[in-house]
Amino acid sequence: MSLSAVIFSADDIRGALLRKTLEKNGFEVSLYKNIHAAGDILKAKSPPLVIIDKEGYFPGELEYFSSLSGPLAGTSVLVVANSAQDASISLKGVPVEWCLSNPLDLPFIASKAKELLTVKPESNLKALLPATDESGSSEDETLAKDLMGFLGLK
Amino acid sequence: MAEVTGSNEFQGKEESDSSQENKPPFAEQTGTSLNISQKSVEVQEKPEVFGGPIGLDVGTSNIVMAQNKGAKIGIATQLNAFFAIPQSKFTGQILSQNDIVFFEHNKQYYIIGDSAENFANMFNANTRRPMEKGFLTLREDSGVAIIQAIIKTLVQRPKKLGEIICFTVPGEPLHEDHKFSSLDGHESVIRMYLESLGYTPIAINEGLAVVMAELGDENFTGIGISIGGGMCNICLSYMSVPVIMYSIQKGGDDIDESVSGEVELSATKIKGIKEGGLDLSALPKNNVELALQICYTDLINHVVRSMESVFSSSNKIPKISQPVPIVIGGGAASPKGFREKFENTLRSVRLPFEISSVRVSKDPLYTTAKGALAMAISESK
Repeated sequence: MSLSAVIFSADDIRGALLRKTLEKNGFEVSLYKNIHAAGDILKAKSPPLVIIDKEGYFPGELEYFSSLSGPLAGTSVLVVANSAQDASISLKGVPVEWCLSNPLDLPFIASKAKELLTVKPESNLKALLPATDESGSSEDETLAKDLMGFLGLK
Repeated sequence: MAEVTGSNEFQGKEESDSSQENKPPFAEQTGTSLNISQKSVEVQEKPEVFGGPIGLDVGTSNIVMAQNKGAKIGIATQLNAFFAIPQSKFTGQILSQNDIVFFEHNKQYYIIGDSAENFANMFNANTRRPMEKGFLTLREDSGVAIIQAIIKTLVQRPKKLGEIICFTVPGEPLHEDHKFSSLDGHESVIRMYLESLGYTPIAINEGLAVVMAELGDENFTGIGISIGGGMCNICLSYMSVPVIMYSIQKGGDDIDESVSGEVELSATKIKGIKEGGLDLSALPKNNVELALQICYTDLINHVVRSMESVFSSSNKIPKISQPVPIVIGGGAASPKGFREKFENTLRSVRLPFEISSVRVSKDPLYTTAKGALAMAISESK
């Protein structure tokens, strides 16, 4: 299974550190600064994991991110924030995990990211799904959906 | 939805997406096939054109060019200095006949590079410099033309248009006396000139260049310090990402000048003594050596205390659980006993992470150029 993630970070250095760490841990990573482009990015990439580094983003930008429950369905979200309270992003139906942002514990973030993709069956299966256009569905996708149904997952 | 180009090694690219490029991270590339520190150096009398990427260290005292030469690294250096004399046909003929590197500008002959020092010695005068404290000086009217001419003696037009050249730039000075930052202007002048030669220039911080040259086996994680003539550059790198970069506008030149003022010998003479086998671990034999030891101790104290202050007050540093190495390059780090003195001073401060080792690079004068070359090679892949 190929691991992939999309990172949103307003800080060049922190973003680069997160990207390097995940790349080093076998992830294919895309890093973005502009959170307002998140809707299009999620639609285009459909990543199994999104990491959002809250530091440096304005409340309005985070509010916009909170409105993306739809495109984020089935995706794991990892928030990097100063505290558990600070990490609360209300994404309806989307499970959100968090990691401490200061100091940035990069090995822990990498292991958490891996854990989210390997432990969570939904994400796992989403990562396994081949890319298909909106109208078509492949045999693999049907099998994966059957498996999700068998496991009692939505 | 343009992606972020986060760290120094990705400069110049609009997009950087590991999934799209299908390219291993820089650290992995250089850690294996491009480990510059393993290669031996061959110093060239005159720069040869081999083609391929180039590393260029634009220092206050010296400009150093590094290029791959088979299994070795070809190095060519030029003193970053000049000596001006009035223009006349006769003088021009004499200079040309004696292979002295010069160019004509504003009705003067500017003798540049190593030739300038020889000429200045003949006239018992001092050379002048187009750079001061790490940046292009505003004192010299023809400074830009001079530095271009000096670079041109080392860097010819590329065989392939758009070849990568990676040049070093200093970090922002800690205690900038000026009311404006010189860094962007300095960088853009060098960049524009290299572009006009047909290269694709990429800037790299001097401290990061030391990391790139020396810390391949440590996954490019550690502290790189370049102690040059005009300044000291310090960079904390984590997996080749420059987390903290800054400079101190003190260096080897300040040592020469301070000692010169104390012992009434010219700064050039002091420089000669300093480079002629000074041992910082031995008891000083005379007042010059004593003054040199005092000044070196002061410089090392300054660097180490700045590290304590900058690193301890930064909120940018990630959690570093493993001790990290410190590697020091730059001509002013050459004296015997420098490493031990630095290490001892380091024991007196508290840093927010542990240090595994302190070492001086194998070829201190060429380290930053080698690191710039490593970066240029990775960008050319």
